[in-house]
Amino acid sequence: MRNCALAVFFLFSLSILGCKVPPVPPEAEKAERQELSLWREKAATYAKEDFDRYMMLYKEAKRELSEENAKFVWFRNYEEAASSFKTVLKMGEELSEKVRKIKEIKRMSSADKIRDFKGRIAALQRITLQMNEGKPIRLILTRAELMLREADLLHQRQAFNKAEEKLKDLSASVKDAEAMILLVLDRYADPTQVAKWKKWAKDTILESRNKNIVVIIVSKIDRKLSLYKAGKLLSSHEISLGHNGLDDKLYAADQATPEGRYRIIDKLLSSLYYKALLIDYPNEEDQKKFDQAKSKGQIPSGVSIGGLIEIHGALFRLVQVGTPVTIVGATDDLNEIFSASKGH
Amino acid sequence: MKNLSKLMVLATAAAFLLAGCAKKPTQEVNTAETAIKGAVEDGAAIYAEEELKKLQDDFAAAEVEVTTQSKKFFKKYGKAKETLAKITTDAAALRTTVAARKEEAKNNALSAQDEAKMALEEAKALLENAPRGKGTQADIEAFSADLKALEDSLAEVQQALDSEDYLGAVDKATIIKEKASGISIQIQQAIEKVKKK
Repeated sequence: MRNCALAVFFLFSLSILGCKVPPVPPEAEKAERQELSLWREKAATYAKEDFDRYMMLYKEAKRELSEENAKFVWFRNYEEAASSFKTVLKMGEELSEKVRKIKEIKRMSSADKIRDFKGRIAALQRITLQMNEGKPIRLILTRAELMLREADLLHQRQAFNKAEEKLKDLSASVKDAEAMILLVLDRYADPTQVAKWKKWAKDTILESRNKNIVVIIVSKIDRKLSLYKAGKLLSSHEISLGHNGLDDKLYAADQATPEGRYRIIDKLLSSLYYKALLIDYPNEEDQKKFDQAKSKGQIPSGVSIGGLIEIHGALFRLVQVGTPVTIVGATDDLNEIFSASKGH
Repeated sequence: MKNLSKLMVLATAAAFLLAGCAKKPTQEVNTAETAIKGAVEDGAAIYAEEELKKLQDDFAAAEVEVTTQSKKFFKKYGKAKETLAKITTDAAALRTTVAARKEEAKNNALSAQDEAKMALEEAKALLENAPRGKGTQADIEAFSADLKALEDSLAEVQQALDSEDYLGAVDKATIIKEKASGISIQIQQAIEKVKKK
């Protein structure tokens, strides 16, 4: 009878204990959600070491939880596992904040670079349009533009590391293009040269004012011909240049446009491009430059200095023989080439 | 009563033996692992990133379960085996999903490539018919250089296609198409400008 009572009591105790299953710590589920969130934030990419440490702790906590779960219900104690998950959650919060900061820095950095490259490429493209001889540079620039678009897409998708890689490749291309441009047009970024051109233009306008005459000033980089009368601007005209128009003419058939102070010496009624104003190229200065270059072997043998430099278009009626014509590279220190050479 | 006691001892011993000797599901672990690897090789990390992550997490949980059980005296691998079997089935299903998404991406890439080619051809045709003269020579040369660069870049689209980087191919082709269309507009504007003169 006594044994029977003991057995009943034992069974009763068992049933009571069996109903009191300790709850799985809520931190476990929170940690699971946090880990997924960190994975989606690409924590492994932006803070690898921290993420690895976090995962080690997380796995350890999960192992502890699994071991507790494997015990008979009345032997389970989740305190240790709960504590481990709390540590994981704390670390995860810090890691999430760190990743957010790293991503923000990278986002801003690549956004700045993208903006900078957009400006540089656009400036270089404008210059190549003025250069005519810029075909190889255009090739590089168009490829660079495509790379920039790809980097921009990656940036928009928050793939900042990949965007950075793309921008590195792009940087090399843009630098190549800039170097090629400066090789041809370094004079435009040279303050001494630009000062010389500005003085020519200023003296020509002064001559116009003092003598009350019409003068012509051509700025090659601006593709602009300006007509002055009595020192005042009468009109401006868009112009085209020859193939190597931004270079200073040195010899016949170099397709460059001469720079210097000239005069109209004839008005031709029929030339290759209809009516033309003929200028007195080569002048003394041109001849000196040609002789020097020839003595240094910078000019192909058997080549002459050339001539027949003409201005075509609507000006024919407006100007007379004897009108001063000053042709300069640029009239502004902050011209396109200067800006591009400074990476603007 | 004596026989009953003997039977109970025997039953207990048999239960101990059975529980202690439950076989570790090594084969099931390997099968599930191989199935996941297969999905990864098919490109699940690109085309089904979230689904792959779920599978990998489930697999890691199953491994923990196996390790936990292996340390116990009464080993119960039933739950782990069940999970591993489900992972294997899900991985096979994922491979099918990945294959379908990959095929879709491939078709998208091929369409994008065609559109890029068409846009480029249109721009080239426009440039061919653009009025040529002293005033337009620089622009024509610039545009022709731009189009040449786009044509060269089409090779990169093909390379991406060949290496099964379909998403990359779509991006490249779309960018080329946009640029070619932009050039067409510029050429058209330049033609209009010349006409006005």
